[in-house]
Amino acid sequence: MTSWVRLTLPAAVVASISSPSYAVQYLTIDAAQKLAFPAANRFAENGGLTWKAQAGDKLIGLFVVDHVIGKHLYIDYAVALDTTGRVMRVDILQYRESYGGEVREPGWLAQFVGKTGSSPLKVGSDIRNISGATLSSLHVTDGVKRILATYGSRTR
Amino acid sequence: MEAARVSIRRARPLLGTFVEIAVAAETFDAAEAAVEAAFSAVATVHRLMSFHETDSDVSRLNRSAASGAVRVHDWTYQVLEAACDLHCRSGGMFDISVAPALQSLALLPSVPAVSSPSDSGVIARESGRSSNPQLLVGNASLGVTGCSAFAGMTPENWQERHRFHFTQTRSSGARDTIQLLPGNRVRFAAPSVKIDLGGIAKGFAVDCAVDALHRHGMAEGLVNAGGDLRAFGPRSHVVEVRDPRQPDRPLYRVWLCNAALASSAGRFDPVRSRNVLDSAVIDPATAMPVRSISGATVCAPGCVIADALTKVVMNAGEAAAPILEHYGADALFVSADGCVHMTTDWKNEVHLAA
Repeated sequence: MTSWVRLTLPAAVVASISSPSYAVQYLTIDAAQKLAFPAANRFAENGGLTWKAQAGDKLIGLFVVDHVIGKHLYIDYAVALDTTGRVMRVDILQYRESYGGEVREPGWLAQFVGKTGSSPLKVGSDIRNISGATLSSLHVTDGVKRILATYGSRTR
Repeated sequence: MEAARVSIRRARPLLGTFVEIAVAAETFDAAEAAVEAAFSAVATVHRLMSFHETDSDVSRLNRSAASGAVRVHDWTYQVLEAACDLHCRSGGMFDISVAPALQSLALLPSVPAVSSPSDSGVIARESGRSSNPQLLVGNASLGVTGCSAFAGMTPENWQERHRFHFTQTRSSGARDTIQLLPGNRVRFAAPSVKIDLGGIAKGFAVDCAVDALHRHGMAEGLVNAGGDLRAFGPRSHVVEVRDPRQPDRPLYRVWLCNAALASSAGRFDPVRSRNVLDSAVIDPATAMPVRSISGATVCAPGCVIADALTKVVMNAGEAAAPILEHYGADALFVSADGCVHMTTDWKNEVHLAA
């Protein structure tokens, strides 16, 4: 029969088991472009963080990078649009939660420069997995809507 | 068998949260193909079970199942069967028909999102609404669900319902709120019945993603849909669980091997603040968010059960022991007075911060 043990915690656990920050790089821009448009042989810069995906001379889609930046959360994400202006896929490129105030710091972002999408990551060893209160992705989906409104017609 | 050499980890916004999939495989291409298939399964669950999208099975049921049986996807039917089983075994603590309570708390929209232009028209569209461009990522959260004593369903009428599920439909009164009929058809007893699968569909999606990874021959992986996660393979995975009272800090670590883990707690949005908001799990007695327990985590063999049982533990606390035992699950919850309650068998896998 299932039984319970009870432990009393202090009102606030100050002795945290790790620093109150959490960061993952999932994909570089280059790697995300190739995954979104495997047929493309060229990604032509199109101003801002947008690229035209081309197969030879033919335009096959648009690749847009944007970010969500808030008090304690920074997310880079990429949106791939096809030539009908439809969203093909959305990938999170990097994710960072920070509670020490450094979420906007450029130095933090620089640590990802040069990493590739195939940088070795060992599942379950050097990676932190988090459970608990579920974070909403609404900020990203709102961003995707804005990108669609801005660029959706430009791919045609 | 050759050892896996390549590990990849990807994340996409799905199910209203961030879904993360990690695998270890022999080649990069094999890993990417498997992860793509797993995301595709999650996207299918999102499309079928979102409260917010008018094309979803859930929206079709909420619009039309009171006036006639509605045929749903096999996956939706499976989730409804699991939900009804959990409802029965939890004495009504787990209830997918809490959508009206969540709507009244503004945790779900009162009016469902408008339909996409590609609406197949199986169900007549409500008139007088404009269309929006449909995003593959969906345009809103899958929603949140809790439990309530809604409908007063008892084990007896659950059994009764299942009897006619396998025989033939017959009326058994208003207590048969959700009728599961042969041929993946579903009928609601009254127009006031509205369901939300936000308290179970994320776990189901994780299980579907894991199945897809298995079909692609992955020997090792982890799928995490906003904290509802499942790991498979030979290694143990460390999972840090946020302190429900202070979610920017982990409260404890769990070692997870070939099992699923899910948590429920107050919502929080680190874009705006580090503070915790009310939970979206409904107290059956008050139809308000649960306040006596600030967070619960359940470990079970499958994620659909782990996800759903967090709502039962949030409501029932230690009284959830029999249902946890039935499903082979362990649990930990933090009561509002700061006590941690943990099932005895789980002690060795859980390491508290303090």
